[in-house]
Amino acid sequence: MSDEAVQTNSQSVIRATGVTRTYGHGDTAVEALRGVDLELVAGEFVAVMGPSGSGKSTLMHILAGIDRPTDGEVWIRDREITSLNDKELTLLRRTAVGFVFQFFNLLPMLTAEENMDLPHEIAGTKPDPEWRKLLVDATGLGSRLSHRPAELSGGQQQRVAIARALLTRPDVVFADEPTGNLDSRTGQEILQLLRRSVDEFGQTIVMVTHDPFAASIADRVVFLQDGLVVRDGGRMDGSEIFDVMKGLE
Amino acid sequence: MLKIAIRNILARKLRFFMTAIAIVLGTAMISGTYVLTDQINGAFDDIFQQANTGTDVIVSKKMAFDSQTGAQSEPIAADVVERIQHVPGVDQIEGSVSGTGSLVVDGKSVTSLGGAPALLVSDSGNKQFNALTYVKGARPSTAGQIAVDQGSASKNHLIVGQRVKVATRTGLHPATLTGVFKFAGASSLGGTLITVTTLGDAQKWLNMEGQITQVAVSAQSGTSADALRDRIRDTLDSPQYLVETGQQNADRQAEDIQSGLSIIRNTLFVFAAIAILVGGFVIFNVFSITIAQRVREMAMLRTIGARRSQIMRRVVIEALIIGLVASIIGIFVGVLLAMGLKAMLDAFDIGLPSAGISIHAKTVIVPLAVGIVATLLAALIPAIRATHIAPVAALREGAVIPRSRLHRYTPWIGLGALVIGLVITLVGVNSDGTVTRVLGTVGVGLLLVLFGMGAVMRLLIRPLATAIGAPISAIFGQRARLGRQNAARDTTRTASTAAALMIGIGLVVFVAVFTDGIKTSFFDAIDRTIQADQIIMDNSFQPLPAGAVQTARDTPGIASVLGVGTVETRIDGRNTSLSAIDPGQASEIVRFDWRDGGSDALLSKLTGDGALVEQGYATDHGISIGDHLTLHSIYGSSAGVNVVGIYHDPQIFTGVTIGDGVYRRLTDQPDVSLVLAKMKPGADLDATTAALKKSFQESYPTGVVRTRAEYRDFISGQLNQILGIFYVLLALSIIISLVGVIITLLLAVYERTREIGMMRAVGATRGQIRSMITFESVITAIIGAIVGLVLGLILGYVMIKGLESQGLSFSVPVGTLITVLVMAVLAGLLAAIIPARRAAKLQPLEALHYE
Repeated sequence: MSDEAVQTNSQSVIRATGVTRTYGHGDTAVEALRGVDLELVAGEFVAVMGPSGSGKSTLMHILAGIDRPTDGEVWIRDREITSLNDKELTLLRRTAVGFVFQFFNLLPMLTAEENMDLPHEIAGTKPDPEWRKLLVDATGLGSRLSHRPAELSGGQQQRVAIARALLTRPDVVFADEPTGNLDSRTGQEILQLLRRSVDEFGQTIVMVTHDPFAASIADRVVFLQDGLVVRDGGRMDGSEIFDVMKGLE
Repeated sequence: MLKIAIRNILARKLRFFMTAIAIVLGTAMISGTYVLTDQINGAFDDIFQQANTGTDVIVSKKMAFDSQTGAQSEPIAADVVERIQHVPGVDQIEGSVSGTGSLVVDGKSVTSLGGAPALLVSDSGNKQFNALTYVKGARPSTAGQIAVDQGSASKNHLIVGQRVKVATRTGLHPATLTGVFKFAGASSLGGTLITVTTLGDAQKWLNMEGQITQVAVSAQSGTSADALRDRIRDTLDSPQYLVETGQQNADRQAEDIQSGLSIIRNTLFVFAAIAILVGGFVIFNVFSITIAQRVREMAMLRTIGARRSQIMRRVVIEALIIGLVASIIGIFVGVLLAMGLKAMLDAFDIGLPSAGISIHAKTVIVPLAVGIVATLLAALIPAIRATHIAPVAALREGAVIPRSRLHRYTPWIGLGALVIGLVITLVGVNSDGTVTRVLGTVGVGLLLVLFGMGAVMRLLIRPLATAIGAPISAIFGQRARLGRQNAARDTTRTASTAAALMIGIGLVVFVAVFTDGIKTSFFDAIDRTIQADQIIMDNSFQPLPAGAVQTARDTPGIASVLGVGTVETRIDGRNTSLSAIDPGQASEIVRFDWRDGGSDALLSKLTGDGALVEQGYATDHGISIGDHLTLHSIYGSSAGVNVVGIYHDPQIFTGVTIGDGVYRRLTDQPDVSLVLAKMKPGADLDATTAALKKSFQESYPTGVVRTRAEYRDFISGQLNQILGIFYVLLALSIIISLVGVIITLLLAVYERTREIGMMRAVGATRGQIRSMITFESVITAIIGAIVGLVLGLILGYVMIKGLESQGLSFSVPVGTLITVLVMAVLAGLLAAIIPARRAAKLQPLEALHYE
């Protein structure tokens, strides 16, 4: 890790320092994050793991700019995002961040293609046609583009969601349990798709998961426990991760 | 289950309030109408009772049949008083006179409010029969003195000692105001001007010298009113007298008021029913949506052992509670409304005599039953649908209720209902039954049409949303497109939201088309038939004395004048509209549309016993030229006539037209209800009209002179007034449907929390979310408006085609249509405010956490 941290700051996509997050006040206050430092460089595929309540989802929300830390700073590229107002954050999300959700979250009345283009639609921009074609091919959605979500399988829906996330070429894609609602074979396909987007397109991905085998596809696995990073290392295989997790619970 | 239902309602107070509002407004209208009309009825009951307290028997002229227009009582010879005086058991007796008479104060006409006739009544001062209590001054005791009711005095700032003129059929009579009174304890009888004078003056001014209109008799102690009535009846022994007890007389008058009020009452009930029908659509929608949102919860209940009937009961209980609470609130609101309205009338000095508010059982029971039953019916289908939720849905993400088996067919069933409804409406319009039967049939037809349209609507949502959304999207871009797609995503839901709006708007357009048809056809008829330059009528729709015709004729610039008289007449027991004209003048001013080879030459036959019959009347009753008809007037007189010609005129001279010779045989007072004047060629319209106004001001100040154009405006104004009232009443249903749009959108926002959050997460601004919801609302509103417009036009067309024989013609009220569309857009914007704000407030994070 230290080797990577030494590398130049210009390649740093996300940098969080001293991030804490407390919910509620007084006796009922819950400290979800208690001081997290984390830096991600371009092209990195990071899995964030931890038992329930470890703060992994909170961390992801804060890094993505949809929740605010109680204390600490978060940088996306060269912008400090915790001081941005709602409007600035919204505009930042359009260009800098992509999301992949556990429950796909596609709009049911739009076709696969329209769902894919939605972020561009919202931003009032046009997707790069070549890039779009490349993504359609990569996700294998070519024949499904005019279908509505209800006519697609879970895996297909998630592939639409991934294409949607990648189409704006964001600095970082956050994936929240992307395989959590899929069977293992389909899940594997989705993970491969994410892997390819890192390897072939140089996409930076942060994936929150509690599935050791999903995490094993990442270049780096960060373990959280009780709101603190307890382990941060390179690629691990499934059983290794499983053992670490067992130790944490 | 009751506890869960109550908790559910409490947890969603806003939703409950919005659902309830439809029922609250509808039931409030019912109970308010009851309270108000009961109060007015009760007040008049009290007044008539009190007025007749000391009167045991009343003798008046007996009418040949019940009046349709509230005709004045005819005079009887005054010597009847002496004949009754000698009947054993008579204590006191008084003959009195009443008729029509208004005031002229400082050159201005003072009369009753709202076009009601002003009364001139004699008062002998006999305390036995006197219902008047003087609050200022004293009763008129010598010639040239009058007193007026308190309400009219204060409204017109009349003071004791003031010099005024009394305008009656015999002209203008100077008088001094000596007193101001209350009538049977009331300061005003609903704005009626009551002028009291001595018997002598009243007889003179009303042209009833030696005559009276009523005899009041009190019985000696020991003689019952009934016994005295029978004795007087036997003594008089003539069918021309109506002899009744004071109680019978009071009851009869109260009944007249009641039947007049029942028209108002029924009209208000129709609008209440429309409001509740619209409310039914809203409730149906709210229940459908909330059940769809609670699929997992219901399924969970099923997995832990709840039976289908329990699920159903749960929904029904919730509907029952909403219906019950809303109806109770509605009843209270209605009572308050009635009190407020009454206070407002009082403030405008048209105060009705105040009787206390009495709440009868029906005031509570009817709205309660209607409110609860309507809510239950509206919730029934959603409740049944809820029972189809499978337990396994609890384990599934995004489980939906399976479509009912009927779902696929509902638009076709709706289409069937629509067509059948249209046919029934058509049949109803063309049937000859009683008014109630016709209206009943038409009502059932319209109801079927509305329900049918509501069901068909589902198929129209997608194409309409695309058609309406395309231009909007072209202008406003992607947010409008998302709004459009949202509007079209659940067509059933959008359909019932828009259907509620459709009803109100459809009825507005229908009423507009119908009124337009009446207006244009009436104006056409005037232009075609009446060649007069000026039209003169009494300001309270009373007849003018025949002398008014001469007054007009004597005015410089006038070439010819035609008086049109009428008297309530029956032929073979049928009420028949009768017009009496001067055959010598008619061809100058009236252009008949002759049939069966007739010509103006026929008019000369009216000088004898000839009669002309309108084509429609002739066809309906099988009358043809050469037939003999016997006319019976309400005064008991009759005249035989021979049919000499047939003409077509469904608007003005409907029924039968006679000459003034026959008219004089039917009535002692050949009054005219309309005076038509035609100028000499080259005469100046303004100058001649001014001269006519001056002549009438001097001789018959209640006669209003209008030019043709002014007359059109006047009729237009009268119709617009009615139209205005209808619009206000229909606005209520439109408001209810807007509440429906608001609540549907609110529920949709709640339902789409995760979606909206995702859009925020991928970069949609609050503004974009807000406008997406707003466009959805506006597009839904426009769909409702357009379908309503088309439906209203179709219904109006059917109705007018059905009434074509009455001379109605169809035209599209373009102005109204545009106004309605603009209003629909504004309404859509308005309805979106709260839901859009709520959607924009959603945080992306909340959206992701939301489950």
